[in-house]
Amino acid sequence: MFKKLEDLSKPTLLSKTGVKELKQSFNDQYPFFKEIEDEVFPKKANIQSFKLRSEYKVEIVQVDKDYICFTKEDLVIPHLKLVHKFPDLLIKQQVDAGAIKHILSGSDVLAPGLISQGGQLNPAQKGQVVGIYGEGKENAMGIGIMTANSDDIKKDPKGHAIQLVHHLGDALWQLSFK
Amino acid sequence: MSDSDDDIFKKKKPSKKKIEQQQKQKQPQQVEQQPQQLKQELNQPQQQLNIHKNPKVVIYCKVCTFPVEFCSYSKAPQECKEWLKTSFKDLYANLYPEDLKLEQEKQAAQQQPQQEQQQQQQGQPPEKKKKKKVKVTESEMVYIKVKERNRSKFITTLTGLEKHGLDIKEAQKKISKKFGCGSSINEKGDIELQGDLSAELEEWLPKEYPTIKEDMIAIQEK
Ligand SMILES: [Zn+2]
Repeated sequence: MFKKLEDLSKPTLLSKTGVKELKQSFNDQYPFFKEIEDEVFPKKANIQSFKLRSEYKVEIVQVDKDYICFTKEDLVIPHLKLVHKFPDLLIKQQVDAGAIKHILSGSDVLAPGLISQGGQLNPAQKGQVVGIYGEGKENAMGIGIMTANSDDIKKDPKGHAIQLVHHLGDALWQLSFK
Repeated sequence: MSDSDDDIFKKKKPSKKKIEQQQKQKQPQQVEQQPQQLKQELNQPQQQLNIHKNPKVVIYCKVCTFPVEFCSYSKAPQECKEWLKTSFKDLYANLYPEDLKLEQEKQAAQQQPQQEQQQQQQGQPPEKKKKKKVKVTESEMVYIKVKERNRSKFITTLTGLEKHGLDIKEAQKKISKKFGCGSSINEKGDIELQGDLSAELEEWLPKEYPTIKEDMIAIQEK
């Protein structure tokens, strides 16, 4: 999704209501968020957002100097660095070692990679945001949206299982090192 | 003293008592809640048992920006390796055990004449272990278990620290920091570490915790 970020708009300061709404969506989607809310959004922080001109619905949120999350349609999706800090924020799905390189080059997660011996499929609903892990690796390498219920994937492990929206090395990742 | 003063006095006293009563009532409620919470926690899957509310520190590669465990997928893995070797030696040893072994072997070959090397290989245990044969009881033993997770990845399990009166959580933190490795406490209360840390732990534990003598450490490789 984040191939090029050259068309990033200028940052705008998020209003109080904007911040409130953002926290609310976090809380609605991720039960664990309330534990870390104050850590992610410190009281006096400077909270800004950017828009993408190509995908105007996607908004990237920055708290002081850290990129925290982006919004896509109704979803708020954490930046990978936030997931590295707080791995319990997202449900974890694991692909086998062979699938790692494909994820890192931007491919979606296919069902067989989760079902095979090195993979691990945890219960999740279609549309849920999940962390993507690799066999033998400790930290998340990607973030995606379930394209089917985990039960259905188990029953019929074919085709797409998770749409990849953010991964190590993509433009959003690189942005956080600039 | 007027009547009114007396009244105030009377009124105040019961109110204090009331507060105390209220507090007393509250306390038992809290106590009741605790076992429930505990039960809930026990029923939850293992994953939820060690929830990390504190931010985890991940070391990112200066060369490729990935968490260092993903460096082998970067465009310049060799450069990544060199950087890690100079910046985080313990982490490097952990992630690339094969490389380290090769290097050590090279060094050993350079330093020792071949004859000496052969003698060691023929299985004469080093002197250190011979002379210190004090009786060690099971109640003092600390076990380091190394298990292969997949190909060159290992998990080291450390058990028995509680026998030496150590706080497992504190020890876990210390070890994690010292060796730059991921760690967790499993459902049995043992410390699990990422990577094969047996040799490092064997050396470090007696130094850090003097009640643990060298003879009390057993390495169980699988
Ligand atoms: Zn690297």
